Amino acid sequence: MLDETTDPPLHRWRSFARLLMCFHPRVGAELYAVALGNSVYREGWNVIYPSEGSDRGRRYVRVAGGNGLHTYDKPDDVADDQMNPVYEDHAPQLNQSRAWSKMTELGELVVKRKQLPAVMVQTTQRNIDASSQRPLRNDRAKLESAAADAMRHFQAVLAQRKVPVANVFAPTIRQVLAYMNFECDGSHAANVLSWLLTALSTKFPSSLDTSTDSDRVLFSADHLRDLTFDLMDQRGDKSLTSYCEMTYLALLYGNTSILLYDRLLASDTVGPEDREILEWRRFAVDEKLAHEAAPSLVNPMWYCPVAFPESMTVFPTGEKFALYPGAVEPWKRRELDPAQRWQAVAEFSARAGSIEVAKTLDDSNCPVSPLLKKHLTGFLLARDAPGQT
Amino acid sequence: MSDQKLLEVLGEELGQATATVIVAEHPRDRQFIGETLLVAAALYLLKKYLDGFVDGLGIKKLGEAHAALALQAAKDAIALLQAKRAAVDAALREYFASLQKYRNNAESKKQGEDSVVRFLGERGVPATQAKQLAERIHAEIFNAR
Repeated sequence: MLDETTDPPLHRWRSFARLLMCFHPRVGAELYAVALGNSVYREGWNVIYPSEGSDRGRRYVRVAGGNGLHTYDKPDDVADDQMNPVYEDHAPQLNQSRAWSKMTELGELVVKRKQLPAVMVQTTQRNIDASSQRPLRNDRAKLESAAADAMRHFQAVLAQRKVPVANVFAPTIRQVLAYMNFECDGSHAANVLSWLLTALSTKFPSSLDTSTDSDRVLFSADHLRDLTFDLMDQRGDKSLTSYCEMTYLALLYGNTSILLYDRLLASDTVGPEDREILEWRRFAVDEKLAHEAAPSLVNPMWYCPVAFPESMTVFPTGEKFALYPGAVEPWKRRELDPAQRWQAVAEFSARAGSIEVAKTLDDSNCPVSPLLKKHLTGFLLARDAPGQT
Repeated sequence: MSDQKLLEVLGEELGQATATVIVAEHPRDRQFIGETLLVAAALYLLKKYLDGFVDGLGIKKLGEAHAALALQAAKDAIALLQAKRAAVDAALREYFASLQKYRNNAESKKQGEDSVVRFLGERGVPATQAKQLAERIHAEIFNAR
């Protein structure tokens, strides 16, 4: 199993890969710029537009000292021209970002130091570059292509008799692995995974199961929310590599659960009371990701010894809940020497346990909920029963 | 641990993510959490725990024993801490002293935990994490005394 503490540039290169691919490369590069103090937000009220020229998804953020507010409702007492406009699609292209130039420099270093094969570094960087060219959200063509692939898989598997249930949901595991291996970004992976889980919940009717389609989608959303919180809880006593991979997986599962809650909230089958329950669950997981998961991917820039300029500039975002536990003590004693900070991280990591996250995907971190597995098993049993054609 | 520290420790234990869902009035509006709001979230959750804990013991609830702590919502905790922090700490100190003899009452502990798990569950937090927080509250109130 890869140990990122063996070589700081290797950890730093993989940290950039996770940061750039956890949602979309341009968003990751922007997070890095913000961590270096280049925020597009201003003190006072900001109005955020996902796209310039459209009011869709508009929201408001008040930045004020230690506190602030994020809301979808326009503040009554503030004139439009007193708000700082922020257009999310104005995020710079990846090749103009500092994060990308740092990552490609590190890629050369990692190959030179023989930490990773050149082909692996080049392939990952090519994948990141290709992802950065795609829309920030809703890459419909790519999602439709993935959905068509999945439907072909379902048809091929269902043409056989006596298939293990794991074969039916195999595309979900493949999608998670593709994300973990930096073959696609998190925005795309979450959209595909939410589509797959919805399809598995609704396209395989079983007379042996009394749950409804909506029940199964909801259980899938809750299952991924629970896994997100568990991963975040359990990462605290793990090695640096395990901690980073668990965080990266939690971001995918959390974002997928948000998409599933959104799907349920948009459906006609949800009543007002259930709507509020779903909104709170969506809110709780969103907050968990925003405060404890995403900032963890920026923090490695802070304590890594080959990032001296950043280490002097960046404050540790999220503090206790987002900083690798091995980096907390040096941060508390305001240790400035990056090499000392790295040593503390490496020592903590050496004492901590490790898990290979990819190997837990068909077991403790399987994206498919137990209820959905039971439902699919019921579907297969009913279909293969004697007398069925 | 001093009672004045207890709210700070609990606030840090909650973290910004959980504190945000506790103080939010609606899941569409989220406050950015500073020190004051962390402590307010801790006080509000502590009150939830204590209300459950004393249920059935014949002890007045925190808000009945100390009228100022009759918090209806987390925003009341924010206002109270801003206006009367010293009075809150004194009231908690007095109230905790009256609870010490029940520290090993398993039924009370369970009811306190259930109250926290129910409230955080309504706010979208999974039961496993809510239960861990409830256990932490119990430990902070009783174990270090």
